[in-house]
Amino acid sequence: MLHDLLQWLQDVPGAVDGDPSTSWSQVLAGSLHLWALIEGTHVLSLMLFAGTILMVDLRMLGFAFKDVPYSTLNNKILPYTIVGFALVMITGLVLFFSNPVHYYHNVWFRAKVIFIILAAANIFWFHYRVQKSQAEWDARPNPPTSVRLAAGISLTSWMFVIIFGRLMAFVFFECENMPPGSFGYAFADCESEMRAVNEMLEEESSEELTDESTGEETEEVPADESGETPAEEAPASAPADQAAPQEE
Amino acid sequence: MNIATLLPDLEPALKAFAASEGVMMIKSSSWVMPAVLVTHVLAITVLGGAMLLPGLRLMGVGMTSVSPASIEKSVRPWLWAALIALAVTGIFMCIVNPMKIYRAPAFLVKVIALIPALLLSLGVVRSLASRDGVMTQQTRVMTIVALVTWLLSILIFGTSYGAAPGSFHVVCAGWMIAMIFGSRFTRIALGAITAAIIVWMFVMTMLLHSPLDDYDLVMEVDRWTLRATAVIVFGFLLWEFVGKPSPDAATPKLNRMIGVFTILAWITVAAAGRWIGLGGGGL
Repeated sequence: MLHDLLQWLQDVPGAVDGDPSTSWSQVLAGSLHLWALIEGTHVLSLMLFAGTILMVDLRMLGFAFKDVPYSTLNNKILPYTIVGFALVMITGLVLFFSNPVHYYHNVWFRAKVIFIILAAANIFWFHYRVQKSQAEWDARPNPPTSVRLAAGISLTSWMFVIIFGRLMAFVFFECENMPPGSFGYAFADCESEMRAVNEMLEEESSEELTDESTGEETEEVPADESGETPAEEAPASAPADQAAPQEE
Repeated sequence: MNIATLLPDLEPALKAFAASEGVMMIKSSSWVMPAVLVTHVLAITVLGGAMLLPGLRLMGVGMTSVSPASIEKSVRPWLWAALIALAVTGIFMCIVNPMKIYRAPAFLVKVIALIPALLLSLGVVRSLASRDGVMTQQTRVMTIVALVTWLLSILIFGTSYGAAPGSFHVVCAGWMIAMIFGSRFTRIALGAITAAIIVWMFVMTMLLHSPLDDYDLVMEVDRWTLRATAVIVFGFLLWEFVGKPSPDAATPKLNRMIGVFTILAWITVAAAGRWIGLGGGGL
């Protein structure tokens, strides 16, 4: 069901005369520079968001800023972390919108979401449980185990979010490349994607058979000035990070 | 402009190197390049935190109750770790794709922008932090060299055919700094100008991009809009951090500008790096 909803999101909103290639999602994916700028902003915002989280987590682990109270570091740095998070989330959602079906069935994207949820759960646990005793450990160079555990989970979670985000550019575990019945195939819900792809291929081949059996000529689509028929124009290009690993 | 235009004789050797057995073996591996790219982006994240905190402190914001020397000393090992990881993985990426970086204007921008970024972080910021904000003659010279090379990198970035849109990230970072740390007047004025630019881009899209579908004309209008925006944003930054008196007597205005400058220099390096793959091998 979610696959169908995302397929609708990809094909319908903004589409002119029902043509999916003109939907807002497809136009964004095939845009000249807009997609690249949003993706670049997403990656660069990591420097602000994850970079500041790293510093606070290192303090909680007792690996840096040992002579600075945790509250000083956290209170002054947290606003920048929040701004960074807003940038990362907004750009991330827009990027998802550019190719929702592909990302929904992407193994790395799903793993990334799992670790985002883990990181969020950790934040809540730290804020509502561990932080209650902050006055006791605020100035300690080596905070207690629960604080260090929260910091360790935070660092690990965000590290995996970044790792899986980077791996999304690679096509190893695309549905077409995984054997049915494998863990990856099930994890990425490839069943629904391949069903949709097969249905689309069957529709196309049955249209061709109908045309051949009735002996009808397909209507000649007038060529544009370039000599190509509109149907032969290249489809909107996929976002760059799907095609090949990106240089940093 | 790219390395190919500066060193055209290098091409045959690079082509031969690109086709060599070692490079082919690395490229054919399914795990080496993913590992390199993942390490590179993780190191960028570490760099972000390690350069932001001292930069913000020099600007007179952030952890103002902690001395710049203490902050710089705390982040220094992480800064070095990030720089080493970035250098190793960066060299690896260059080895695997020599022709791409040879022709990419963004790579030339990145290499030039590294000069001010390293000079500022490892030289100027460290010196100012350890001397309680006092600027030595050596620091002054490093700052001037850094400023000149950064301006050169921005000039190449903004005028290169394929990679020019990438300079948007640097302008955007400057805009955010001006809006977050600027005065009320700056926020209102810059906000109004930004709104006007957005309207301009919308009108251009409706009147020019969609109907005419002329790639070169569209690129030209976009480039000049970005350049005008850059001049406006950096004008506001200069006014806020150099033209006006520092709000905090303990933070000289030149130091504040160096803080801003350090952050923007690293954003330029990172943005140019991102656009090596996106900007093509243009002019």
